[in-house]
Amino acid sequence: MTEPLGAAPRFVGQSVGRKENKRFLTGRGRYVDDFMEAGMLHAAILRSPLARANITVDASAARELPGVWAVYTAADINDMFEPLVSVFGDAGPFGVRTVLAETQVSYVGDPIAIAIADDRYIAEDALELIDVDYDPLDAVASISAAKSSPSCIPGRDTNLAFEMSLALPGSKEAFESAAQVVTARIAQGRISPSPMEGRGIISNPIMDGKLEVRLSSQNPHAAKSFIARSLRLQENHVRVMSPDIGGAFGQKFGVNRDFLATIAASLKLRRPVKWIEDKPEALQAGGHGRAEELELSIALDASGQMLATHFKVEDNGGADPVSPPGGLTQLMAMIHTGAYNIPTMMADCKAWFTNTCGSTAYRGPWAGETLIREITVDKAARAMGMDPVEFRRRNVVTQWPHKLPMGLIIDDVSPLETLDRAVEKIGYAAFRAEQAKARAEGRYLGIGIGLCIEPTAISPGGGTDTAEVRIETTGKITAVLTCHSQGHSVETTMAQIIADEMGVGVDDVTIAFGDTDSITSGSGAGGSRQAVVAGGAAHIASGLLRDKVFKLAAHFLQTEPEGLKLEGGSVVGSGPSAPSITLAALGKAANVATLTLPEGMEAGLTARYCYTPPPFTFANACHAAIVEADPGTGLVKVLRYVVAEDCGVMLNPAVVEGQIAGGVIQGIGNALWEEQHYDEAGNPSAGTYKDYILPVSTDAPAIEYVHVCTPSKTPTGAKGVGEGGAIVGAPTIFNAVMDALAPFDPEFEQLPLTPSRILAGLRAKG
Amino acid sequence: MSDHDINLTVNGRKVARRVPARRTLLDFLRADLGLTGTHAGCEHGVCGACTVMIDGVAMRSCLTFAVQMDGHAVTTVEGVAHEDGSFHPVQQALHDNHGLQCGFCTPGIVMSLLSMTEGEQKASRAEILDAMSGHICRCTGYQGLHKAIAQLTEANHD
Repeated sequence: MTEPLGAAPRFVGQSVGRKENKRFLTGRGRYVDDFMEAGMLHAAILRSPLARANITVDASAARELPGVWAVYTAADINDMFEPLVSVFGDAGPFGVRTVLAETQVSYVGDPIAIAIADDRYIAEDALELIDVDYDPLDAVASISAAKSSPSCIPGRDTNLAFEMSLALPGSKEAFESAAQVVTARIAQGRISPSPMEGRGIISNPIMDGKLEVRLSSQNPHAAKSFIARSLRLQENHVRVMSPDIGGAFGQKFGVNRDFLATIAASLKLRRPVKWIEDKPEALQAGGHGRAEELELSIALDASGQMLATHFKVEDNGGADPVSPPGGLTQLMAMIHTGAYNIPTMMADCKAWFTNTCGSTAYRGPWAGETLIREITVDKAARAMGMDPVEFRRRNVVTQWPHKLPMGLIIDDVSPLETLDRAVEKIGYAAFRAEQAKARAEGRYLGIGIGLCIEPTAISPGGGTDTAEVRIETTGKITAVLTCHSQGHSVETTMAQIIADEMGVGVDDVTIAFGDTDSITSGSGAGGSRQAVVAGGAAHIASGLLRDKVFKLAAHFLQTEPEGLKLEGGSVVGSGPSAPSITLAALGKAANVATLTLPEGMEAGLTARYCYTPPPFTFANACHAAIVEADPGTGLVKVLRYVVAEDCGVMLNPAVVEGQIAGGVIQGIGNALWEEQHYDEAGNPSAGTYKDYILPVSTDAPAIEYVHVCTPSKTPTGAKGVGEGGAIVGAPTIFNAVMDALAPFDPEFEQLPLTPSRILAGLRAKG
Repeated sequence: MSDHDINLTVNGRKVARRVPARRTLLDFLRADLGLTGTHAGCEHGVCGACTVMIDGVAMRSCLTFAVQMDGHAVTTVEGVAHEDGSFHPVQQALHDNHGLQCGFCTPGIVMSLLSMTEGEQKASRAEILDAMSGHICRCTGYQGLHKAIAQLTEANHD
């Protein structure tokens, strides 16, 4: 009746095939939109077509449409909510703090009304019947406009959201005495995170004042707390269930106003209500990343040694950012010196509110520091007449741990080794000859390097994850965790960790997550944390469970727990007789035949551990790319891409490489194609994915990997790897394009490097 | 708006329904038939997540109306695996090569690969690579897809 448990090799470090694949490949994945509730209604949201206007709304005609249950405006639902704060808490500043726009809209896409109907078609019909009178106001769409305009957000005094200036000792003197100061500037293109599954929610008020929410979320526990707080509900009366998630990339970290409007509608109607974002909504109202302007100056001595930096960033937080704008700029300032020996620094960080879509987290939200640094490092090498690789070698830190100017201590990294290995893998020296030959033929090849240290498992002030591991009556193992997956493969990697610790097969372990009723609070997915934090919790909890198993096994085997081993699904004793007992027998005794347990022993075989990681666990990488740029058309083709990375112990190399590759291609998109641009009137340029250019398969080079392993001092030895590819991909491509077009003395100060921007930036004839 | 009777075959089973003229095939499959494996991605014909096979040819179900399917045969991702539940070679190739992560774009990719490699069609590796540029995957960087295509076309040339 009980299947035997699998053999137990070491699974950690192997490219174990993903346990998730079967359901995804056969159409059995379950995303929010795949759930139907009895009596479920469908929502559609009316959004402002103008960036800033006073409004009056008349929904009476829409409410009369057959099939429409309700149309709610601000007057109907806003007073159900506390003023909105961030998912991180109530330390502002905040932009728009109401769920639906009241008397003024603040960006194109600002939610004005929500229609609830029998199906989505009718709900969208109802939107057409809502009469909104718009009295247009001057929009503040850019950082420069924000500086010179009165407040553009209702309820705020100023557009300035955040300001920090810092000059560490010796920094001014270093710039004054420098042999050379090199400055570069870049404005990022605004990124739409663009997970293929849009945002979505089913809000279901159940009996007894409780609320069940299915939410496409990276962190259902934080969402639960936020929803409860916003609606003044008791937190344990809210249950958030996040099933399969079709990508997130940071966008699904927060709880947006659209979700809250849907919840309000379900509470008022006492019916389940589903709202699924469509892609035009995602592009204009789903949150944007990377909306920032960056500048870096590096002071150098005559030998090319870096003496100090001056880092400047201005962040466009939009109208309703999911977290207070500016917070990330402090992290950027803190880590912007990266892997280089830079003794002192200055920083000026500002953030602004504007009449554009609010900012959201996007894969490596602090990536601007690496972008501007690696661009400026290349520019400095050119200014010094040095090769960019040699220039990096001269300035890279080689002694670890290393204290950054603002005090953060970095350890367990290997930047020089990844630099050397990337350069070797791509054949840097040989490429220069190939480049010269190609130029003689009128082809412009270039090579770019990007070097970065990636803060992972970022958990200042805590940031725990919990694993609860239990042995079932059959001896199989179930683990409930607070992690989540939007493609992260944690069902596989967490099972690998637990299988190793418990001496069973990966298929003997089932991983569950995503339901706030099933386990205590935890951090979910975000900040490249799961291998380190959830992995650490799984590792420690499994060890605690093993101790319990040995104690119980010792009772039945009439021996001592010391010297017992777990292998092949059995506990095996030492000595010539090697007595053994199966996990199935122990599971049955502990869970069912509990009278056979030793007196005083707790029934059940469950262990739980809540793991608090270090504040940071650092990974590092060096990327190298070869591109061909056409000075006639402005088109860029990526020919080769090498990644030398150090993420410590790889739980599953295929998963690691998948995370890197996804990030790299997003980084290439960031550098070359992706942009949601706003004109001065606050109109976004991209209405569909015909206008917002996402990379496709024919754009993707074959990525070549080098893995370096410096284990972290955490239970698994792993470091995060989810964001590095996206962080360092963009500057690597930028530097390669600059190198390719060097004969034309290019100057580019705006991403993405679209063909028209490339052509406009060529200052010489070549 | 008008309603219409349609008779079609979905994954080999006969289906008779009455549908409003404006109902997309995508919504018909998902909401009326409960075949939620076909996903609503961009719903404007760019991303490919909603791809199904109509009479053996890959098509966007978001740009097709259900009423157009009268008399036609539709295959969705639920109809691809073998009877015993084991993977079709297309699914196997994606599994073997880490060709999926979040899984949301995957059903569409499975259907396009299927239409390019099944039956009489023996598309070349280059033709398949080119065709697959009609699918957006935000997770994988397309590395596993490229390897899966190589695996599938090697099998084709056996």
